[in-house]
Amino acid sequence: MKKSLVVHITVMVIAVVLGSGLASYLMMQQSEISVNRDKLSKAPLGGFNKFASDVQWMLFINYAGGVDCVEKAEAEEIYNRLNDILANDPDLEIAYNIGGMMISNADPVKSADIFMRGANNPNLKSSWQIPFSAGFVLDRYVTDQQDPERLKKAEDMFRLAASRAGDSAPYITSALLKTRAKRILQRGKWNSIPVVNEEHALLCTLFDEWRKGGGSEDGVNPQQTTDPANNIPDIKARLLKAAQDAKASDPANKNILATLAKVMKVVSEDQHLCGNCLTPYSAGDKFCSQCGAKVAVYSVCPKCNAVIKGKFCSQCGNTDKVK
Amino acid sequence: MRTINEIMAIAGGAWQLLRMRVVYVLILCVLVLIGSAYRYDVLSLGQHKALMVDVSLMLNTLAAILVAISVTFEISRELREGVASTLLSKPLGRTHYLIGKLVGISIAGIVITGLITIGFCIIFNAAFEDAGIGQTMLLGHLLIMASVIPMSALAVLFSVLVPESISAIVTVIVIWFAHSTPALDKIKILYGGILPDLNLFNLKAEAAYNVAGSISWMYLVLALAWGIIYSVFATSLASLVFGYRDLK
Repeated sequence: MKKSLVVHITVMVIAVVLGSGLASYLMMQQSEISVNRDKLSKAPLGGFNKFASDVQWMLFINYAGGVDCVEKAEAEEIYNRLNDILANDPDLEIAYNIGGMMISNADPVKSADIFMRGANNPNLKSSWQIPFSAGFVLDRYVTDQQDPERLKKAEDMFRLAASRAGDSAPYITSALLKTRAKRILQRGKWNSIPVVNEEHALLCTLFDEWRKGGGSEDGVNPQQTTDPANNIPDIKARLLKAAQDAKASDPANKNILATLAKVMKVVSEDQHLCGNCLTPYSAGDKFCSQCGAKVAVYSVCPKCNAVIKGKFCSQCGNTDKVK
Repeated sequence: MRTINEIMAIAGGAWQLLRMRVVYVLILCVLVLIGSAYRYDVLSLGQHKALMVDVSLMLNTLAAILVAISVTFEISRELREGVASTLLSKPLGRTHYLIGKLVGISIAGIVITGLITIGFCIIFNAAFEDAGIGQTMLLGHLLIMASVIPMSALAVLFSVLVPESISAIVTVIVIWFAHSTPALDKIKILYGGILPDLNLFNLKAEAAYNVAGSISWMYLVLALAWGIIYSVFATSLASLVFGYRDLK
């Protein structure tokens, strides 16, 4: 009997040591497999967290279907329900998208919170819609009083969305640039020049982006960086458009003109733009085709005033230096 | 060789479960429930595919728990009716009796959960022709099949450790909490060694989303090894207690 007792205890001790060691290893493996495991609800659900989440999700849809208008009270209820669902299944992508959007008007802060949680979930890193929605809500609905850091957060979210979407969604890049412009406008100054309006701020933003990318003359950014905003394929055209818009917004503003001078000196020194409306004009043009302003004529024969197409003037054969 | 034959003879008694028609009717009901998840496409806003996988995993787990606790009724009944003492009067050790019960109910459980897994695969393939059964889904089910072994060991342990009237309830409670106490993950030595950690077999969410490559075959093998090691511990403890018990 004693021998049996010793054998039993020995077997048990070996099994405990082996079992605990193996269990520790498997727990580590599980943490790698399931990165959100620690965030799951601690409620004793018998391992049926996902099923509980499924049931809660269907009840949520049932509830949402009966809501006519989402006011503060409904937004609170929706937020609480979403929290319960996501505590049991943080990877339910549709819950972030639908739930967050439902409360974006009534309670944008909570909506942004839902979206940002989804955006920061490593298991949902293929989704660009969630960070885009987070940025959208932070940019459009959340106020500076509610969150002074909202624009910075929105910029981060748009950047995340742009990096996930790649080239498939150019409007994300536009949203990112606009948010950066708003931040510049919020700061009030750009390179010691006071920023006067949104158009002016967007011009400053695009110029910063062009410089970050080491802007080339062909209009394509040569330095492909990890920041998607620095890989704007048509940045030069955008920059020109922004310059036109900025000038049109307040043509006599000295701060805008100072910025334009700075931008045009660097970006368009080889280009011929109308000094009034910044529209490009062709060789031989005397007046701007857009605004009618007089422009500096270039590339014409000094003898016959014909447009020079090559080494020699095709009209008079002149080889003198052209205008 | 004789020992194995004795164990298999006892295990054969536990396979009686597989001869009961009601078991197959219940399996059919489970498969109908799995199939019905397909109709929840509107109510779940297009999440019915993940829902079907999750429902199948949930029902398979419940089936495994029910099979495991059936052994508590069987051992208790045999002890009460004196069948066990008749068996043990033969040249058969008490440890052999418990191991036989464990092996028998484990095999029965694996067969039943295996049938549910096969049924699920057929239903899922028919419902979502374009999707196909993913490796993660399959491994999720295989993990549940493997979890039958430690659950059966717990059932055997509690059938000799606690009075007959509460052994099934205690087993269910212990299995339930062994699945749902991730907070105890921090207690490295005890948890998974002395206390059961059936959460190691729970990767239902990953299986439901069929996250490619999330569960490896090695994980399944190691989880199965843990299940066997824990079963050795639980059966040794059960055998130790059973050895001191007076039988009718």
